[in-house]
Amino acid sequence: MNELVNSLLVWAVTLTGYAEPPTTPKLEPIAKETLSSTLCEGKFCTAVAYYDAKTQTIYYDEKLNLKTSNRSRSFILHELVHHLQYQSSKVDANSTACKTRIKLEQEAYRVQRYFLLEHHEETLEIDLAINVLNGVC
Amino acid sequence: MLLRHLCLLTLLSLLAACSDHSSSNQDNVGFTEIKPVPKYLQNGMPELKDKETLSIADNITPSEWLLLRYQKTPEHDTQRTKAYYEALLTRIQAHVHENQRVIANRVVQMTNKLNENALPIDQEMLLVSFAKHLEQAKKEYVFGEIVDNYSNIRTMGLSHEAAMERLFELLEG
Repeated sequence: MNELVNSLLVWAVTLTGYAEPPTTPKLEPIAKETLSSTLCEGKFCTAVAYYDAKTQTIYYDEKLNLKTSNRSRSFILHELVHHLQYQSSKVDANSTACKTRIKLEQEAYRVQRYFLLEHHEETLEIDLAINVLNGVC
Repeated sequence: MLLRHLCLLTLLSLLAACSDHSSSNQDNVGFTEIKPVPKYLQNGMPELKDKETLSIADNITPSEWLLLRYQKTPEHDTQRTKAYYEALLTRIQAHVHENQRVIANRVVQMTNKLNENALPIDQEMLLVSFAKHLEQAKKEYVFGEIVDNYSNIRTMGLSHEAAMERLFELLEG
């Protein structure tokens, strides 16, 4: 698992240009229901992972197949980018300003997209997400 | 509004969940390798290009989008409002089959394409000229087609004004 996280971190650091973080985040598999209650107030929710900056932990759906699925791994990569953003002094990852939040989210999606492309995975949903983000603020 | 979009994004993050359960103490056994970062990304991701297409999912109007693009140009007129673009798009739309969003998309795409080929043009020149010439036209047109024809004429070496004159001579002749 550590090897996987390190490989994904190489992707995140290289593509974003952020400094290599002093610590790698913890990865914590959780039940889908826990994800839904945390992110979507218990309602139906298709979110599969999120980064908790306070504990420096990436919580992810325990059903993600991180062993072999590059699509599943791409979600961890996305959250690793958020970890780098919080560790970096270049950006204010705690900002609540709409444009800043969107910029940070877009960056994570773009890294995820390049990763999927390189692994010959479909990017339609990510393209759509990036497109939607463009018009949010 | 942001919350609504973030909810939408959450919905977009669809995942084909697999049966394999992972745990934080998994070792590296059975993990397939991840490809190294390709050469073209070794120095980071390319800059995010401005959008070339306004989608129906975007929550700005074509005129607002064109204004935002204009405001990024150097020495732009700070007094210009979206009404300027609304008026031009309305004048064009009256003579073509497409809606304002599609017209704006075609104008932006053509501006970028011609500039990439070192042919000077901006979105305002295209909008103003097409609005002017279409108002004098007797027929109704498919905007995408006449913009393509204009581009073909430009690549033959004609200036913007000469190309527009020639285009409408051919179309209306």
